Amino acid sequence: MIVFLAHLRQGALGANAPRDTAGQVAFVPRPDGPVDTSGYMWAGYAISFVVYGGYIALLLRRLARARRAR
Amino acid sequence: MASVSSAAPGSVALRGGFPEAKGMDWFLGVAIMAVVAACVRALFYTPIDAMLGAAQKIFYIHVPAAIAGLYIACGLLAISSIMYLWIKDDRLDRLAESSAEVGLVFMGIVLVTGPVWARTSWGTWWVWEARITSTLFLWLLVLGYLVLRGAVESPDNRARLSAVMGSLAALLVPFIHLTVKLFRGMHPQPVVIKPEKPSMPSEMLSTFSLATIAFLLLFFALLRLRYRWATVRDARAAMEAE
Repeated sequence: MIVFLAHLRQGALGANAPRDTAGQVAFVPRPDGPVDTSGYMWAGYAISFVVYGGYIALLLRRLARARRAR
Repeated sequence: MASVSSAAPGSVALRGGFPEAKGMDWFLGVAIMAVVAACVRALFYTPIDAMLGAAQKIFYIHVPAAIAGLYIACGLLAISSIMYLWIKDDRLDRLAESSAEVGLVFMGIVLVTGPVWARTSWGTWWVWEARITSTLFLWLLVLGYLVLRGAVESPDNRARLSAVMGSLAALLVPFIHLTVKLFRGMHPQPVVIKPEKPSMPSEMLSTFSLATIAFLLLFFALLRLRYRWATVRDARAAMEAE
């Protein structure tokens, strides 16, 4: 049923048949452009900034403690 | 770098007082500004990929983090570990330790941003395929390296054991690089670091180049800071031991 609905959805969108993309990024092209994935893009950048920022803060805190301990 | 010189391999001696423990420095400031500039260019001034959509822009933080974390950090870890086993200089041990920790952060970024991108292009967060799984193994090995360092009390034993583990862990890097050629998997083939011309439009390639330079600057700025802290810590330990 799910497979049938997926085929139906593809047909309704007029999308091309899925390609054999072994070894490459798999995608099914859409006639109306790419799906909006900007939320994932912002999530990726936000995670990176938090991780790098957190590590910089950790290093500066360690150095500040070392300075106080002199 | 801090004003510490090793009087003899395997020891930290203080010359002219305690090593400086500077905090924020100009190099880190420049690196942060470069990273912000690269991200602004990637997010607002680089075209959206026609097939993969906006999530493809994760490429500009994912791949530079992989270059810094896997190739540079693990390369430094391997070289300094092997050199330590040979000439037994404490500075090499500190360099290996600093490379491992900063590399762990960069590899962590690779392992987190990869699934976010994969969710949009592959339809799943995680696939147990060769490149992704071996990168996770390397991350765990480097984590194990740092845990091992914390578990051994004798400085000489700690440096020797971790040098062996560090040099062996880094052997996984060439394997990770070749996994996309050796195994059929979901991970795409290299688009920039390959013998042929990079398969990217010029606008994307220039953003990628800028991002790579910026994240490499950040890597070396963090490595410098981490090394400096390790020097101060070792000097203090040596002073307390006297």
